[in-house]
Amino acid sequence: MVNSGTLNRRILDYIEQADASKEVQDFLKWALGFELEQAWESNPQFRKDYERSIKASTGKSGSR
Amino acid sequence: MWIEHIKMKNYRQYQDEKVVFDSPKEGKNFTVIQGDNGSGKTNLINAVTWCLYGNERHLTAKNKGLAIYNTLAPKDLKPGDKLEVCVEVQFRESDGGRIIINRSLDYKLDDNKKVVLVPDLRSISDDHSTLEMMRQIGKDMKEVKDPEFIIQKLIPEKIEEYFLFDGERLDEYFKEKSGVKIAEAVFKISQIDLLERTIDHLKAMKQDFVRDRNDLSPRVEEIQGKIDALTKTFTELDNRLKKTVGQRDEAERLELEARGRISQAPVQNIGKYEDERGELESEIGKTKTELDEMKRERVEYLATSAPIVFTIPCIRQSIELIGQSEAAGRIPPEYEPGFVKKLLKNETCICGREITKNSPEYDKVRGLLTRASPIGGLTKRLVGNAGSLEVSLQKARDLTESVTKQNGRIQNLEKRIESMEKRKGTIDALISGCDSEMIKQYEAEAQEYHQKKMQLSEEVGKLKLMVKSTESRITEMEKERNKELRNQTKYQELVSLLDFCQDALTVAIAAKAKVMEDVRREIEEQTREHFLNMIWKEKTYTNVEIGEDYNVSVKHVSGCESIGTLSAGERQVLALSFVAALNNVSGFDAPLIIDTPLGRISSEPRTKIAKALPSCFSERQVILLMTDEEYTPTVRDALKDHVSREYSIRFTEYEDGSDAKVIENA
Repeated sequence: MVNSGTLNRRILDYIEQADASKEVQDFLKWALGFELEQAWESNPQFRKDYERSIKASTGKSGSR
Repeated sequence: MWIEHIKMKNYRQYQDEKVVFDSPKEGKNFTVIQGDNGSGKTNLINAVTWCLYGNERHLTAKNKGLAIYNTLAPKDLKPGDKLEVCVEVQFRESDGGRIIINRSLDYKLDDNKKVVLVPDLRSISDDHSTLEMMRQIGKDMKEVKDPEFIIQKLIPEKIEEYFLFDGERLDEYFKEKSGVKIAEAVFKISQIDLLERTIDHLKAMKQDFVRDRNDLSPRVEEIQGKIDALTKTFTELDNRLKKTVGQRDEAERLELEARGRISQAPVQNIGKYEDERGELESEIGKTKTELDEMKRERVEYLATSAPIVFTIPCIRQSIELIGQSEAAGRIPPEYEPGFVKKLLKNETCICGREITKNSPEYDKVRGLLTRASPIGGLTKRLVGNAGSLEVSLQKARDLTESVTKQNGRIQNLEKRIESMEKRKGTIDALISGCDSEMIKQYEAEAQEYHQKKMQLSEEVGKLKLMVKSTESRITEMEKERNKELRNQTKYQELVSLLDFCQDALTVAIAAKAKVMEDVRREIEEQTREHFLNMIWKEKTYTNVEIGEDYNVSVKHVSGCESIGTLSAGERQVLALSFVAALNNVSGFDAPLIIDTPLGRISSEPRTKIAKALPSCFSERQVILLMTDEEYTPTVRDALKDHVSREYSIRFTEYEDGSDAKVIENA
């Protein structure tokens, strides 16, 4: 998990106050951190990480 | 996050320097480093960007051709000696933890006293320098294995230009009336680009999930309906089977019962005996008829053949007599006159002897000719009759044999009739005391139950096949249903993944729109506030606006747009205002190093700007690299309450290089 201190506090605040489940909020924080990490290195494999994170967030073991 | 110190060794004009900074708290967040043009101010920013990214971003044209190492350093080296160029920047994170970043580059003096690079072959930097990082974890400093990665998280390289910049170049943002560069700056520093990528990736994931979901079509209910129907059929068939098995077993039991009753009777299979007796009676009747016919035929035969039989002695005697006469020569030989005449004519015997005319042999043969003619017919007749007699005798003998054979057949028939009558007598004796009707009834019952049992067994076989077939179809359908159930589970999982994606997308899109608008509006407000606060022409400009397309507009008191007519100094004030707003609004916690912030500002307005600067960059560490012309006494006075340390760069030039020292002002 990226140190949230390196993410824009304003975006984090908005996400934390959004009318969404904690899982959605946590996932979006993870996704922003992921994108921040990938900012200096392209990552064509984002699907794998996104899918893993979404499934972990929804508690689904994964079917694909 | 703030810089605690910058250490430089053999880097450009800095042979061995350490510049220490204070925490930006309690209002004293400014550090001023004063130096003449060319003394090394810009190389302080370069030292930081080289340390962080391996790239001297603000290198002047003059320095681009120079080696990175201090040219005075090799002076005291001997061939083979190492020369290390090193910059170390120590940061303090907001939680107080230290991060020490160190980049170094090794050189050595070769035999020709030439400085050559000793590249770090493991380095990923273009200049083959070595990057090391220590980070405070608890009380201990620990080496970080992937320093490049951590640096990108601390101050991403792509937004570095908004924290470490040359004040004189700031106005490039506003040279042309295009919001593209401004928008790019806002998006980068506000991390809206991260939100955009998150949204794009979420949309891609959503598409993937939709495609996967569409590939699945749960048919559980349909298949379950078929299974239920098959199960009903199975139950019916199974009940029928059980019932039929019961009926078959009952038929078998009744058959056995009937057979049991039959087995208790004195004679088993009375019907069979009766049938046999009937057959025997019929056969006896037929045989007797045949016998009578045969006897009649024999009588007839005997009547016709008896005369011939009675002539047998006569024929035998005649044959004997002829034979005796022939043997005695009383029957002349049979000569053919033509043949004899030919012998006489040729005068040659059949044996080849010559028969001379008038010889005794000739006369003898001639005599045969004369004798042969009167008896020749008689001889022929006698001998011919003898043959006929032989034939007649054989015929007579055959008749006798035929009669003998007829007699044999008649005897056989009589024996057979006797045998059959004997067997019939045995059967009569056997069944005479039985209730044949009752036994027949039992046998009929047994037969009836047997047939019924066989029919039911056949039906049981068919039903078993049907039950088995239905059962295997149910098993197949259950497998299909289970597969569909798994599909349904996947389907439901995909639906919830999709829902989740959609929820995240909704929040991300709304966050992007909100943050974009908030950031734009706040940057606009702060830029306006800073600009109007710093600009020395207090009555000339009335407003600064940043449109939705991020085009910046500066309104003249007349109401006209004046961005295109701003002077270089005014554009620098606008740029400073914008960067200050951008930094404050971004929420990014990074120190600012501004080279020549007031370089284009004339003397009078500088004081006004200097007074306003602390309010532009409150709380954040700001390092100002200024010339003497910028850092005038009035500017110094304006900033004094916010400056924690002041340094001066003392630059000394030598024939073979230069040296700069950063000395804290007393």
